[in-house]
Amino acid sequence: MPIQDAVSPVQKVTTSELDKDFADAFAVVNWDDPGAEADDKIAVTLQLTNPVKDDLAVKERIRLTCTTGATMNLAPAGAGTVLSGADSDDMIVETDEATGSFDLEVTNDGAGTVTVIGGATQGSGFVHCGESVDLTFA
Amino acid sequence: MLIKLRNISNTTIDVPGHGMVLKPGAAMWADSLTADLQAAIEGGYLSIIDQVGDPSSGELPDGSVTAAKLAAGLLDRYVVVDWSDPETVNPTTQRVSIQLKNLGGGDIADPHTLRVTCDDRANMTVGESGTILSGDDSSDMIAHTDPNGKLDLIVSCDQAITVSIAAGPTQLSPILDCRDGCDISFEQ
Repeated sequence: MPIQDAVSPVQKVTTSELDKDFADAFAVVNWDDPGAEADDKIAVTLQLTNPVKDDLAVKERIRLTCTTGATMNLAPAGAGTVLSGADSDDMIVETDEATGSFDLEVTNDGAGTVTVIGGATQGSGFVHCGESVDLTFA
Repeated sequence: MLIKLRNISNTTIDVPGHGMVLKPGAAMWADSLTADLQAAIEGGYLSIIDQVGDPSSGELPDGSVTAAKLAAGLLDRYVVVDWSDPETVNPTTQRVSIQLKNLGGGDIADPHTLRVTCDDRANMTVGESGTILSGDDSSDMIAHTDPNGKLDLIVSCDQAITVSIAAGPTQLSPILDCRDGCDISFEQ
């Protein structure tokens, strides 16, 4: 019998069976629906969840990059903090500790689609950034 | 249901029906208490040391699996960067170490690759433990921990400032938790 059969009970564990503290050790980057374009700007909120899709209220450091030509910043009065790269296409941010969110505002003068992706960087925890967001500018 | 069994005999035993052997004191998880396992318990070879779930079902209840219930090999897949307290070498030089830990807080004795950055008014080199890959004597380096999961950093700064140091993932890195950083105060 191969070892993978002998330990098969462990392989049956699903994400919903994870203890909350254990699940909260892993952050997943999710994007809310973008807002409407106004003055060449579109706002969109990044929200962290744990692997069982519960909102995760932690401060997490994430690098955000977007399509060349567009720029990013924290939305006015938004949640979260920009650590570096404000008003550029490559910045490092911290989510808001109380909500696990970062309110992003993207500016693009022309028409077209701007893609924003997140990633782990210096000071990041266990963070999954497999989902990006596309913003359509008219 | 999961049952954790430990070999309480003095000899290595074959685990009935599981195709594996357990050394004295070693433990394993099984998904049910079979007749063979029951016989081994009654024979004084195995004892139940933990149980998760309802014996009447094959399912685990939601929220029941903690990090402590992961096998050691799986725990070590999730690497946490842990910092020692800085030590003063001389007024412009301090030493600090990174030790890799698993989710259970145990040391990870493996070489792994990290990117380490600090305030650009300071420089870093690797000390006794670990290997530099790039960025020696700079504020942005990539280095390997040693086979014990340890990386010694020698930090130099000729200004009276607090130098913040952050670790992070880079090419070749495992799944890393680098949320904790390190601040070193230099006082000239």
